[in-house]
Amino acid sequence: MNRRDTPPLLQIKDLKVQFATRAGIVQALRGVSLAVRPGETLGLVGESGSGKSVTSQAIMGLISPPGEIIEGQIEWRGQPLVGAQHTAHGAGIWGKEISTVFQDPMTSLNPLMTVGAQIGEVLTHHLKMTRAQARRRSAELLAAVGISAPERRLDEYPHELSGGMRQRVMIAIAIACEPALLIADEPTTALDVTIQAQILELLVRLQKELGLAIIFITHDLGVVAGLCHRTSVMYAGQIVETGESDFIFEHPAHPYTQGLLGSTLRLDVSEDELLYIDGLPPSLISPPDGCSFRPRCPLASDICRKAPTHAMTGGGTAACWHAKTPAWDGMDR
Amino acid sequence: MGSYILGRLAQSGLVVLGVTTVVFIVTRVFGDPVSLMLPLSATAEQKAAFAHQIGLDQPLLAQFFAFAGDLVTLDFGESLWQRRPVIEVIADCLPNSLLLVSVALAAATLMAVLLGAIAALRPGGVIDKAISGIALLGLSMPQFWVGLLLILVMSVYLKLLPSSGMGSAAHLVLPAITLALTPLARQTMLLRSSMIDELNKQYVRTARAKGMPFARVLIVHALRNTWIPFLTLAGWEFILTLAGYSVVVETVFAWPGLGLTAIQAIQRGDLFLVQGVVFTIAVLIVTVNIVLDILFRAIDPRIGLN
Amino acid sequence: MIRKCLNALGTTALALAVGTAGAWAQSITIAIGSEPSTLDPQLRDDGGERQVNDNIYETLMARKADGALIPGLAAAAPERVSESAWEFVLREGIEFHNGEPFNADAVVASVERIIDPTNKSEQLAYLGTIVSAEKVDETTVRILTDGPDPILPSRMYWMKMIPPQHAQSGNLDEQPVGTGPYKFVDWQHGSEIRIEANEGYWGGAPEIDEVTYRFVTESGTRLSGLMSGEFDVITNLLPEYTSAVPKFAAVEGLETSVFILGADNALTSDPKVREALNLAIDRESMAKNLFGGYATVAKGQPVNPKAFGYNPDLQPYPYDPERAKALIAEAGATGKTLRVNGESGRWLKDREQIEAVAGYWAETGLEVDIVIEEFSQYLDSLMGDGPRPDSIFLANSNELLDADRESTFLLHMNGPAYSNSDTGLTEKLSKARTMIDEQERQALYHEVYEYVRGQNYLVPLFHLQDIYGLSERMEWTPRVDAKLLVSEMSVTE
Repeated sequence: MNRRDTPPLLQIKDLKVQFATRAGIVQALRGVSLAVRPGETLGLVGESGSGKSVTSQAIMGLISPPGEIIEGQIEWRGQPLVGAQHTAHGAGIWGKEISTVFQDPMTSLNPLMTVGAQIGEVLTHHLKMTRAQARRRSAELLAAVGISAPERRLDEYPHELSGGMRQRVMIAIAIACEPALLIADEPTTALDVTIQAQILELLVRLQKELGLAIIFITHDLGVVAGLCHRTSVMYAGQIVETGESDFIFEHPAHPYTQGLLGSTLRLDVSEDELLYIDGLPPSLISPPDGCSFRPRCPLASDICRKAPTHAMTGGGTAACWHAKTPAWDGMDR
Repeated sequence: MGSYILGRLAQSGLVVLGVTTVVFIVTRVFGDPVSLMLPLSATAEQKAAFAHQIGLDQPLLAQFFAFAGDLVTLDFGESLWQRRPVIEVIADCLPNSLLLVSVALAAATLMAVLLGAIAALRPGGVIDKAISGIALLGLSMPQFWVGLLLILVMSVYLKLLPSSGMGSAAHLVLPAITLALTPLARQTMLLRSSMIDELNKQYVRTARAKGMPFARVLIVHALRNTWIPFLTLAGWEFILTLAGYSVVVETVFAWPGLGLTAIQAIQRGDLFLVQGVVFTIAVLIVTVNIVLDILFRAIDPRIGLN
Repeated sequence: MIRKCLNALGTTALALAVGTAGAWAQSITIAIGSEPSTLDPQLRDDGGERQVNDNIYETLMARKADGALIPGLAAAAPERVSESAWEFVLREGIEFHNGEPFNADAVVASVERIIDPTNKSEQLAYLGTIVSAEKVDETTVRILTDGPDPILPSRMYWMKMIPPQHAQSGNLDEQPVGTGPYKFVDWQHGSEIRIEANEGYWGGAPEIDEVTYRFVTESGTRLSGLMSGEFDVITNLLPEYTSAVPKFAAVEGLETSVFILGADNALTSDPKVREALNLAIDRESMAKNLFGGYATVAKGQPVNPKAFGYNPDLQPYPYDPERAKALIAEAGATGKTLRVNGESGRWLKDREQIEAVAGYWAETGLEVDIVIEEFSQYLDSLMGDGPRPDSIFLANSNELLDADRESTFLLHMNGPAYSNSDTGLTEKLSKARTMIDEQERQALYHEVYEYVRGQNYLVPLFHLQDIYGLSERMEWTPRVDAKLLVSEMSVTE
């Protein structure tokens, strides 16, 4: 099956999001475009502040003042979903066809509602189930995400559950309506390493069983490698490189991607050989013109003062004038 | 739960006894009820006779034991001012106060939830600024002044509502508004800020991402999480209003309640009535606290019974 | 539709008719400062109780609006039949509202009840000399006192006559039954008391048919109730509001404000200092500025001008600040500290008077230390056994309208608030208390107060006026004795 032939489920076109703060206007997303096709897993990778979570919030219609979508469009199955001027058409899609698992399971559940109520309200609202039906289905969902004694858990409150269990509950809520797209926003970051693996396994299994498309948001390239068909790398509110995961990991084209990979702990590289990228990501209040990675990039040249075009990389594209040039060879590691 | 309530009751009993004891001592050590009660021209013999009659010539300790013994049977003695049992005086005026305070606080609470929630929807927006500004104004206006202003406008100029007294529902309007204003302002501010806090919390984002209608997110999810601080304040307002503000407001509006009775009892040195009023208020305070505690446990599963 | 309109018209017409009928039966609302503690007329010394019961009950002696003592339920002024006995002849044919006859038995029962020690009547402060009452015949009663009592007729103006049967078996606390022009209707505790005209009143039915008393402690609320048309009469209107109300009426009342000087204290034992304190005060200016003119400067004595024993020939202390300063300097008192004790909130403009006077005193070169005390502490300073204050403020009320009241309270060494050790003065005052001959007694009081004025034992200030706020339709001339007698009021409509 060639996924590229099927029309995308979700398409983001040149999305620009701003947040008004006291210090000034933060340009959180500066023209992000991406597409997700049915059944596909897209990894969205970047440092904190790169815009990956804002992207997921934009998809879910969660950008609210002081944040604002100023340009661009998000489409769902070819129909407008979210646009500028707070236009949104997500009722009946969010929570049903697109759902989300957030980073921190400790705070993502309402502390005053039982687990059963929090799963059940999705079912009664979106699928018009009766309470009894919803309760039965909730128990099944808990079982499906690997929670034992699901009937009993329905009446428990979040504080009575461990972090891993809560994240399973979040996943149960997310898959309750058998969505087409699941946005997993750093779903394992706050969990113990052993639990992380279990949750990832669960997501993989569910994807297979339900034919889900997943946008997997993480700062951890290692997680992406094993999980995602395609990967988009974000930097300073823009996608700097995108492509087939296998290809990107083998042949990173953008100097930032190369640096990111170089700084990731791997079995074949010893710790003292890890790369350290000098400097900090630019301020998004007044980002540099041209390539935003320029101040930190060893390949930076005059041309980089102009906004880079997207160069084809074989597996995808990279927004760099010097794409595919190894940037960090011979640098201090 | 049962043993918890028993424990709380015992604890509350001690609090009430403590408060009442303090009042007992204060009323006897400071000030001379005998010369307050009798006309200025009363003779020394008349004063002595009166002191004997109400038992004030007894040693303090003997007075206290008699007092504590009577307390158990809710016998506070006879009001020196009204010459009838204190419990009767309180039974006459307490319901009036409870009526006024309940109406005022119910209105204040409902309005506060509405205004606070609306203000929290767009913090810093025009509506928020307007509501916060009005609340601040409400907090900074003394009730005495508000009461007279309302009387002036609504009774004297517009002749819409009676200026004082009790009787019809119309009599309730002005004192209730006056009494409600400060709690309304404080509760609105509190609900606004806790609502803003809650709306920024992750679980609210989850609820919105679940596609829940906005009203449900607001009411079922966020609002319920503001209840504990809100109810804590509401209980506090109830006590403040009943034991504090009602004195001023009942005086201004000649509302025959506990506050008006209390201030007159103090002015007339009616120590038995003062004791009875303080005891009543102490009982109300601990009752409110117990009710709140039970409510908290019903609302928030994280609060244990210990 | 037309039918509806007609219906509405009909209803309006009916309402109008009823309204007119309502206006024909005249009713008024009086706001008083405090709720009666009881409606028993014989037990308490309670202004609220009097304001209601003065219309329901009557006394053997009465007073005209200007204070003159006249017979009430007595047919004529009483006669002294011995050193310590007065004989009253009663009006005939008077009944209590419940049908009980008013006669000698009722008088005897009334006297016996009020002096019965088990009843602990607070009014004994006014009636202390009475020991018993005897029925002579159906309409003649003798009142016996513990010694010669020239004030007894005035005292009997204080003692309300009660129906003996009802007092025995009924509930006088809640169900007042008198002989007066108004009958009790009901009392809603906390809210109001209603009374209605007694059509069979022996003195003729009163003009106003129904009276509702409302209890409003806050003077601002009374004022606004008057302005909104809810009240027809309000008590204790502040002078500054006389211009705001539809109508008002002022009358010199029973209260006189005064400072008692500690004649035995280190500083104020010097007659020069005491004289200086009296000369230093610009009373005219205070009367104008504090009371808007609704206060009369006392003529060198604390006695109520309507009271027996008042000396009309005395002159007010002049305002002579230079002389006052010189006297203080002569006495070597310049820079010494004078304590000024007082209270706040009990009497009209009390704190303002204290502060203004203290201000004048400070100008003489004395250091002035004002001590405003909580009322029960103040009472202790005024009447307690502790050291006498240098000066203490007081507004003294003379309900019996006899100089004995001021004399005993302020000066007599058996009284509660004296600050002198002038045994000669006390002797004279004791004599005046029991003097039989009115002329002589009057002369003695005149002499005493001329002497007291010279000694500067007191700093008399003002006779305060009672100001009442009235609605547009009320016609009423208030009384010296502060009684709210509705039978003297009328309504124009």
